[in-house]
Formats: sequence, structure tokens, C-alpha cells
Amino acid sequence: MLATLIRKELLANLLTMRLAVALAFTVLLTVLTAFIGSLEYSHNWDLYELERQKYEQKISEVTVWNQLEPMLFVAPQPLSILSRGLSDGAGAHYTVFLHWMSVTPHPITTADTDLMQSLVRIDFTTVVAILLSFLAIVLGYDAICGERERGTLQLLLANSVPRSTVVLGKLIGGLLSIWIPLALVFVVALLILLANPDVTFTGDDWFRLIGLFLISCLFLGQVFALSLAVSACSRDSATSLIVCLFFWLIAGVGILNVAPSLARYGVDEPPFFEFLQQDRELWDEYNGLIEAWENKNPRPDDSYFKGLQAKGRMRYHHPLAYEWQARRNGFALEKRLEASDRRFKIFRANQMPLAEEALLVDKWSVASPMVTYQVLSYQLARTTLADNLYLANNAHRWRTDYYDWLRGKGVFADRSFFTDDLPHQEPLIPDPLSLSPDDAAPDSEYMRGRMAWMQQEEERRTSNATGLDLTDLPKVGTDLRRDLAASLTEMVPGLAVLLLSFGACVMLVMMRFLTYDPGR
Amino acid sequence: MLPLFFVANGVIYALKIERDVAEISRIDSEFAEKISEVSELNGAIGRWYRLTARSTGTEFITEGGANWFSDTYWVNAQSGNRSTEYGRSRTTNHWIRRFEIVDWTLIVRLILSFLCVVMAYDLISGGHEQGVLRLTMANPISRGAYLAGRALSQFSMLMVAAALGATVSLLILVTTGVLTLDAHILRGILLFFLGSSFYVAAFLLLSAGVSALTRSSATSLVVLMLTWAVLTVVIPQTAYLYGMQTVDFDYDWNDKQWDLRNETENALAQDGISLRDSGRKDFFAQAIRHREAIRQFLSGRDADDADSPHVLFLPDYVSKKPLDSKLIPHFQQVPLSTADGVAAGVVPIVILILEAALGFFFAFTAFLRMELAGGS
Repeated sequence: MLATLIRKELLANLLTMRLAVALAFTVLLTVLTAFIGSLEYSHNWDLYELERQKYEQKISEVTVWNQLEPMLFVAPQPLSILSRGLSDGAGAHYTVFLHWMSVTPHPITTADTDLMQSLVRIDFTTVVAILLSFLAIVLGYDAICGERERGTLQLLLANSVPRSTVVLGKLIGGLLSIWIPLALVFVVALLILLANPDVTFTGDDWFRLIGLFLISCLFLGQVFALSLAVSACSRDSATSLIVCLFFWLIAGVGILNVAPSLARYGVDEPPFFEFLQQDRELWDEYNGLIEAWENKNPRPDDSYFKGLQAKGRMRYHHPLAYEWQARRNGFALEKRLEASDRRFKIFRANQMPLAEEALLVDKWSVASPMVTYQVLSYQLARTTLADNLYLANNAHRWRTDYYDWLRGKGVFADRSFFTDDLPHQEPLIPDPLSLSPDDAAPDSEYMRGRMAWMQQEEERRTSNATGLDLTDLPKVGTDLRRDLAASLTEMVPGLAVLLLSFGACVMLVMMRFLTYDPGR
Repeated sequence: MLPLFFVANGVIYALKIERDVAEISRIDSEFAEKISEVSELNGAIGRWYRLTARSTGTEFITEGGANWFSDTYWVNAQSGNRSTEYGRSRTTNHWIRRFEIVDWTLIVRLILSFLCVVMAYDLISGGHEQGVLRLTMANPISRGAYLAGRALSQFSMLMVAAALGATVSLLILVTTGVLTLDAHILRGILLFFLGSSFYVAAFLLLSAGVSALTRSSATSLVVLMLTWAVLTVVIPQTAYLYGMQTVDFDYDWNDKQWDLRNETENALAQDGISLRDSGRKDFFAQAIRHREAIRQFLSGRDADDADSPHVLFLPDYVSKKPLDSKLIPHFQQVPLSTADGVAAGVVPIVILILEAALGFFFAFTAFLRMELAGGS
């Protein structure tokens, strides 16, 4: 009996003009968003590869630790084509600097200009949240009160079918008729993605994709159940429709736009200049410490520092200079790391209220199924701000490991930190103090001869350069991002709200329908 | 419903304007303090001048890119140096810029147009389904007059609702003391409602036309809602994707791309000009003119001093005489005149009027050709 009822609902829904029109729109948009998103992904993938190659090239050429500045890369995630969130399908990198830690990783994209960012983007989840949810409402708003108006409800109930079976048939039939179009557009989007050779899904991605489909089903089911509940609560379909549409407008468009604005002006934003001020004080303090150290340990005469100097790397300096520099580094680098940690803390304190505004938007999403659904999909695709912060935290942890490792190697107080000169490498000026002022002048014959010698040495070096030994560099771990279990934990509140409200709507429909007056 | 959004608008902008005012005055006083340190021509030439764009005052009506675009121009008088630089001085939260802000434009664009559809989807088909339409048409009344009458009554109802909502929002803004109504703002409001009325008319007439064409309220509603979603949500959002694909963008900047970027940004800024009254482009032009004014002032001062080597504009090669920092020209942005604002918005305004006219012809012909027989 239930099967017959479900079949009747399914056919009544699927063979209507309104479904055909809505479906045509939805498929068109899905194709558009998936296709353009896929093109953008390829573009971002190329940039990511380019950036990686540049980095590989760079570290193969680096010969002193000072110049290393390791980078951690996060590849563009194919899932973010369907669920853009903050990442827009771009990869990201996190660079380890001595003096600076960033709050979030740096996206590798050309699209983060002010201008492009201020335009709102659309993806598969938008299509589901706006268009398919509308379809769910259209299917549900007159399912009960419409039949009453047409008088068919009385006929239906005259049969020896329990009311619970009738309403269950309506519910399941309606759910299936909204899930079939969803499956269709999901497959269309997936096919477009798979047609792109740059897109490769890992096992984890497949689980997340299935998750995305399931929460889309749950979300649409919830909206359908809600409209069914409204239908069961009203006597005529016009009222039911108006109520449903206003709900849709408030939940879909209203909350999405009002919540961020309220968050933006409801939370106090500490001005950026406060950070700049504290930063200046911090570095003044650091410079004071260094100055005090240098007063105690005077720097050798400038003439000892003659040689080549490029981006923190020294060559052909006098051993005395190297010895002093290494001692200074042994003191200064530790202080510098401390300072950069403190700087990160004040920067974070300055920026977190801004992040808090963005996170509030996600938290308030429980007020609207549309927004809850979108936030859940971003969490699945790992494209929320919280995911970015999580990633950065992992990167910070690695940064600590990296400097611990360097410290363990004794590199900080060693000349290998800033020079690749071999211990027996002759300096540019063997004994600066015995040199007469005339000879020490840059254009003297003596200096010209030494310069020519240095050029020769440089050429010899480039022909047999050896890079740093990075074989025991700390491992990054499998992935900087959240694993599936962590993502699911993150999603629990949103999922609970969706499930509970779905359950509540179903209960409401059941209860109302059992006492519903089918009379005209 | 409509007032609800306007209340939200009032509250948000009361908070926002308060913050903006505090921030701008802080920026201004900071800069004034720096400038007061200048005591001779030398210092005046070597330094950067911060020129800040004012708030337009009508941001609660239409925000445009005011939240994101650069609002500050730094200029210096020195020759042979980079002479201009622009950026943003006020705090911007880049993490939530994927969201729009609730200004009046958003309310009209999304909510009012939605109400148009809800009010008018059964404008013709409803009467047809109930059989009332045939009875009405049996009277000596032309179809055109019937359509015009019904559409006009809906139109005036919506506009009155919008005006009431706007009044609520204005009340909040005025009573919290962040806004003082002046001629400039009133003109903005008037222009806004003029533009909105064309927009509302276009949506109403479109709905009426579809209603007549489909002859069934349910189908009419589905078609209209989808059209609404595509016109107001989907097409604007697709602009980003379209922009991404049509403009080729190289990772490494070069001059050509800077030009391109500036050009696009200016074009976008111009879109907001008609009602935002201070276009970004105009602000930049004013900033450049102000740089000239500073240079002229400095060269005048230098010419007065016979001992100066007169090598303009290089620090250390100009007059060493003391200079009163208060005399340096002070930048005050001149708001774009209404005429210029409207002129800049001519194309969109004309398109809007054309759309309303198109809606009228569509509704009219659809209704005139409608077969009335067969209503239930």
C-alpha cells in the first residue's frame, strides 16, 4: 500500500511542468558553475605547480641555512570547486620565516585582488541552497492542503488506509522526487569535474563527496518536511505558499546578508595601528638587546667584513668576521625567535576579533537551514576560516619543530648558518690590518687583483655547487589539513540541528495530519 | 517583513557610521599632528601627504565598494620619486567580504522585487481561475485600463511600504545621532526612490505578463520565482566567474595589468557613482590635483627666497627659510555634484527605464492576447 502511495506521489511530482522548468534552470546553473569552477581550479593548479617548482629550484640552490626559509604547500582541493568557501579552489603555502608567522596560509591565486573579492561567488552548494530548496518548497507547500482544496484528500482517506501510511507515502514520495533531481545535478557536476585531467580525488575526497551528497539530501529533506508541515498546518495552499516563501526568503537571503553585517559591527575591531605600535616597541626592545650585546662584544673592524654578501649569505670574509658573526647569531637568533613569537601573539590578538566576526557568521548559521547547509559543505570541503586557522596552527607547530631541529644541529651559533665558505677558504683580504690605506681603496691595483681572484673562485663554485643536506628535515606529517574524523567532529552541531529540525518537522506533519480535517 | 529589513539596516548603519566617524577623526588628527612637525620647506617636500576620502553620507542607501576599495591616496611633492600610492586606511575585515551588507539597495533589489513577484504572480491568472476576470471584462472597461489599474494599485502599495520602511531606518539613524538629514542626503533618497520605482515597476509588470501568459497561478509562480532567483541572485553572482574567465591575468604583475586592474576597478566604482555621489575615480583625480596644489604652493614659497638654489622639487636644494605648517594646502574632498553623479549613471538608468517599458509592453500584449474563455 505504502509503495502504491509513494509511486503516486512520485509520478504526480515528477511529471509536472513546474518540476521540468525548475530542473532545467538547476541543471543549467550546475553546468555553468561546475564548468567555470573547474577551469578556475586548473588555473590555480598550474599556479600551485609553478610555485612548487620555483621552491624546489630554490632549495636545491640554497647553500646556507639562513636562506632556506622552508615552505609548506597545500594543493588546491578539487572538492572546493563544488563548495568554495574561503579558498576558491586555490592552493596555499605557508612560509617559515625567522621574524614572522602568518595567521593564515597564503593562497596561491591571482583572484585575491580587492575587486574580485568583493563580488559574491556561486557554487554547487549555492545552487542547491537557493534553487533546489525552492523546488522542495514548491513540491511540499500544497501536498496536503492542496489535496483538501481539490477534494481528493477525502477520497483518499475514504480508502482503508491508515492516515499514518498516507502521510508517510507523501513524505517518502516527496523526498524521493526532490532527491532524484539532486542526484541528477550532482552527477552532472561530478562528471564535469572528472572530465578535468587536473582533478584527482583521493579516497578521503570520495568520502567527503558522498558526505556532501548526503548532507544535500538531508538539507533538502528538511526543507521539504518543513513545507509539508506548513501545508499540514494551513487550510489553503495560497497561505501555505506565502508562509513557505517568506521562510525561504528570510532563511536563504535574509540571514545570509544580515548576520555578517551585524557580526561586523557588533564586534569591536582593534585598529591595526595598535598592532603597529606594539610591534615597533617589540623590535625596539630587540634592537636594544642586540646593541647591548654588541657593546660588550665589539664588532671587528669593517675591513674584516669585505667579501660577497647576498640575501643573508656571506662569502670570502675574514675568519675573524665569521667567528664574531656566529657568536652574535648564537645570541641574536634565540632572541629573534622569541620576539617573533611575541609578535605573532600581539598580531593574533589584533586580528582575532576580525576572525571572530567571520566565525560568528558560521556559528549563527544554525538559525537557517540554508546557511547551515552551506557551512556544513564548507566544513566538508575544508574551506572555512576555521580550517585555514587549523592549517596555520599545524604549520606553526612544524615551524617550531624546524627551529628545534636547527638548534639541535648547532647551526644557530655556527658559521654554516650564514656562509658556505669552507674552513680553509681564503678570504678576500687575507690580513686587513697589514694593508695600507692606498691598497685597501676599492679601485687600487691590489683590490682589483683580489676582485678578479674572487670572480674566478665564484665561477669555480658554481660549477661544483653542493646544496644543504636536508635529508633529516622534520617531516610535515601526512596532511596539514583536518582529517575526516576531525571535519566530522566540527560538523556535529550543524548536523544535529539539521537532523533535529528534520525530525521535528516530520513529527509535526504526522501529528497534524492525524487530526487534519479533509472536508472542503 | 519589509520594515524588519529596514530596522536591521538602521541598526547596522548606526553602528557602522559611529565607528567610521571615530576612525576618520583619528586618522585625520594623527596626520595633522605629523604635518604640524613640518617647520621648513625641506621637510614639506620630503614627506608623504595623506589624502583621505570622505564617507559619502549615503552609504546606508548604497554601499557600493565603500567597504573594500582603497580610500586613501598618499602623494608627495618630490621630483624623481614615486609620487603617488594608494591603499586603505580604515579597518576592513577581509574574511567576511564574501557577504553583502544590508543597505537600502539590497533590500529593494532582493526583498522588494521578491514581494513584487509574490503580489503579482496571480494578478491576471488569479482572476481568471476564479472566473472573476470574465465578469469584469464583461463591463465596459478596456483591458489596458484594467491592467494599469491593478498594477498601479499594487505598485503604490509596495512603494508606500518601502517608504515606510525607509522612514523607520532613517528614524533609527537620526535618533541615534549618527545622521543629520541635509539637502544632499534628501536628494540621494529622492533619486534612490526614483530608481527603485522603475525597478519595482519592471518586476511588477513582468509578473503580470507572466501571469497572463501562463493563465495558471501555480505555473506563473514557479516561472517567476526562478526568473527572480536568476535575475537577482544568480546573474550578479556569476559576474565573478565571468570576470575570472574573460580577463586574462598573469601571476606576475606588470604595468599593463596594473592599468587593466585600475581600469576595471574604476569602471566598477563608476557603477556605484550615480547614487553614491562620490566616485572613486573622481577622488583620485582630486588627489592628483591636490598634489599639484601642494607643489605650486611650495614652488611659490621657494621663489620668495632669493638665497634658495631653486632646484625643485628636491629636498636640500630648496629654500631653508622656516615654514608655517598651517599654510600647506589642506585636502578636502569635494563631493561629486548630483549632475555629475546622474551623468555617470546614465547608462544603467536608461537601461532600467527601458526594462520598465519593456515590462509594460510585455504585460500589455500578453494580457490583450489572452484567451479569456475556459476559466473555471
